[in-house]
Amino acid sequence: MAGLEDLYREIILDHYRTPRNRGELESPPAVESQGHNPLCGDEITLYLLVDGEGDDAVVSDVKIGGQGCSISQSSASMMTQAVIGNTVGEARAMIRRFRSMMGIEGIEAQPGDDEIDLGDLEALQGVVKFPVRIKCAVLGWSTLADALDRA
Amino acid sequence: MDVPSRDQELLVGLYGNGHEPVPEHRPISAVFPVVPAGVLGAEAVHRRRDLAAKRAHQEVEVVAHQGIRMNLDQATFDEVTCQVLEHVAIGVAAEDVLAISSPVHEVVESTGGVVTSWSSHTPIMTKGCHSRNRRDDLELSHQARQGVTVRVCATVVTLGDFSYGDRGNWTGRYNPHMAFDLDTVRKEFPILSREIGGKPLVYLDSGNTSQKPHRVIDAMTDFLENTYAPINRSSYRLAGEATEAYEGARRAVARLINAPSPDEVIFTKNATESTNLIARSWGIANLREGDPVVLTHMEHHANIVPWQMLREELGIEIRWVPLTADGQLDLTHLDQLLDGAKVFSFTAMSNVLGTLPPVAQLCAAAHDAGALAVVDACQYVPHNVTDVQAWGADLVAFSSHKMCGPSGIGMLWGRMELLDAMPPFLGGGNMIDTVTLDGYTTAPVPAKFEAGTPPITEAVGLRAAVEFLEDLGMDNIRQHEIDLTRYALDTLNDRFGDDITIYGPTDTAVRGGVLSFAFRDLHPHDVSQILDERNVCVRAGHHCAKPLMQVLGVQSTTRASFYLYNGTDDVDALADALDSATDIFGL
Repeated sequence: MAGLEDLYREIILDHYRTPRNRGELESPPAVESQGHNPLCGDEITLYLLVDGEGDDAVVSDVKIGGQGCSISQSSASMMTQAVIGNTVGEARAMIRRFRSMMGIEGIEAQPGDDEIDLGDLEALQGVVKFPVRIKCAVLGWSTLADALDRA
Repeated sequence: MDVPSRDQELLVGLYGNGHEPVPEHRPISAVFPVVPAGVLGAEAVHRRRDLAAKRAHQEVEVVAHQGIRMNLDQATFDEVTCQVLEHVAIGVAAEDVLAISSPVHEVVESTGGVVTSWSSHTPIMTKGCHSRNRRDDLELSHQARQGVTVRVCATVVTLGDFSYGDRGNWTGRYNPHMAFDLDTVRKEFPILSREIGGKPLVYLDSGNTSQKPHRVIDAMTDFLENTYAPINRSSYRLAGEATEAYEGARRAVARLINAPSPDEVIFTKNATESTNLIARSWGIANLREGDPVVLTHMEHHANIVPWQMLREELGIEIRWVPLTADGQLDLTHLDQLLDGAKVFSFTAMSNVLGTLPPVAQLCAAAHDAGALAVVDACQYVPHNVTDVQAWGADLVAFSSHKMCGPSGIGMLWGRMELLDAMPPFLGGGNMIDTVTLDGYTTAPVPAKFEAGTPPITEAVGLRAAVEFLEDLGMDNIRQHEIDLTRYALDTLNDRFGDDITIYGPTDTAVRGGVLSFAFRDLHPHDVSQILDERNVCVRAGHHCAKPLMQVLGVQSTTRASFYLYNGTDDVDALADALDSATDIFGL
């Protein structure tokens, strides 16, 4: 049986207590995206600033606002650290990689996805053992995907 | 049609619909296990498999006073009043006899001819009750007349001993005078003996949905195994039995809420469908652009969204009754809010705060303003004595699954003249009187609002649930929950002080067993996750009341909700589990 220690890893609690990249960006130029978890009512707002065009554009800044549980907050916090400074194409690949780590089916892996290192985010692997919480973990990522589509 | 009393109902459509062989006669002492009044435990809960061993035979004398209609081949009486004159065998006073089995096991003597067989779907009445035996066949050889005395050997049911579920599905009966005994109640719920990870289940999510007692599960299983058939459609006997079982649920529900007639009880899919029925049928027929509909800030989405849909479609206006600081309705400006209103639709018990608003007063205020009084009683009916007539309500929505019944069936009660005038909601089979190429006419209420095959088996389970609640006594259940809520408020406040914020009224006289709270700075999802580690089941989220969450200034809460099977040990388990959250999050 999965224990709480699988879920509440220290790195997760650290990001929950001290979330990184919280705040707002001026929009425009930043893209603002809302994410909801209809199950629990959590709402987050994500601000995305991209420099350039297409997949080669660079994610220059991401900020997160709103409220959520430890899983959604820490996942979003770690996500911002992971994607800032990478290209839009790399950010999309990370989204795919993270979603498949969460056991979400129907993600079409692309060449190179396997090599992506999610770093601290691997700590969220334990969430898979708590299916109800998967929605929490992917909330920030779905919101980022939406923002990337609109950037 | 009047609503039959519970004692009458016990005797209508009970065991022995003909397919079960009449048990052989055995000595009384061997077959009638006497259970002391007020005791109901595992021994007294007779599951179907044990039936044969539990059959009891008593010799009783009954007199048919009136109404025997017969022909020479088969005397069918549609209304017979019988009375136990003498209870020979075990010294039980006649007034304590609740029912006598049917079919009887043996006819000992008849003064009006020879009874060749007595196959009845309904037992003979006792206790001076009048039975409407609609489907009983009493076969007499000849010459039977009014006033005939028939001595039979039959199973006797006495108060405090047994009652019978449908057709030989014997279950223990609570003595209506017994005290509410939690251990006894819990034994009725098989799921409560389940352990997860070696730890017992602490189910505190009954505001979401309630657990089911043995007799509900058994009633449904038995119905599916023996009686399942279409209702209101086919003429064979099995279909007749199924129809009777379905209608028995309607009578039971009518009795539970003190409806003037079972025909005013409409079965829907759930309470949400009931509120939608109100909005789509009454609303569209009666509301026009600009018409005000008054709701409150503590409504469930089921009593908000259907009206918001009408706002989009018809341009009605929605007004809101605000809340006081302690989560009660702020009625200061109610008259102004109701001025010109066409509908006042409100909850009888908040699913988040537990608040119990003054329903009768609100119904009267609605009527004074010329508005329809609609009550969402989904949280109320399972926990309180409900009297829709005393409320003076017009339409009341509630559901089965929150009151120990199965999911998949909900109820709408309405005043007949209102229901009569309302257009149908869904169209199809069962709801029509006739259909031609040119159009249709509707069936009378309630069929008018029950298009298609309804939840038949669920209705049978619901009836068993209603009888279960009646046996416990709704007033006992309410008192138990008042005590438990008081204990929970005190315990949580004592143990956690400022670390816990419990929303809603602190006075248990105006509060049901629902506790929504914020715990330290923890998100409700995390709280419920930690509680789940100890099998403490609570709900975390917005509880389908997002507007209320906005009013409270939170995104979500953790909610523990109690029911008749919860005790102070559950509250203690909740508090202990909350303590452990402190360790995990290092707070």
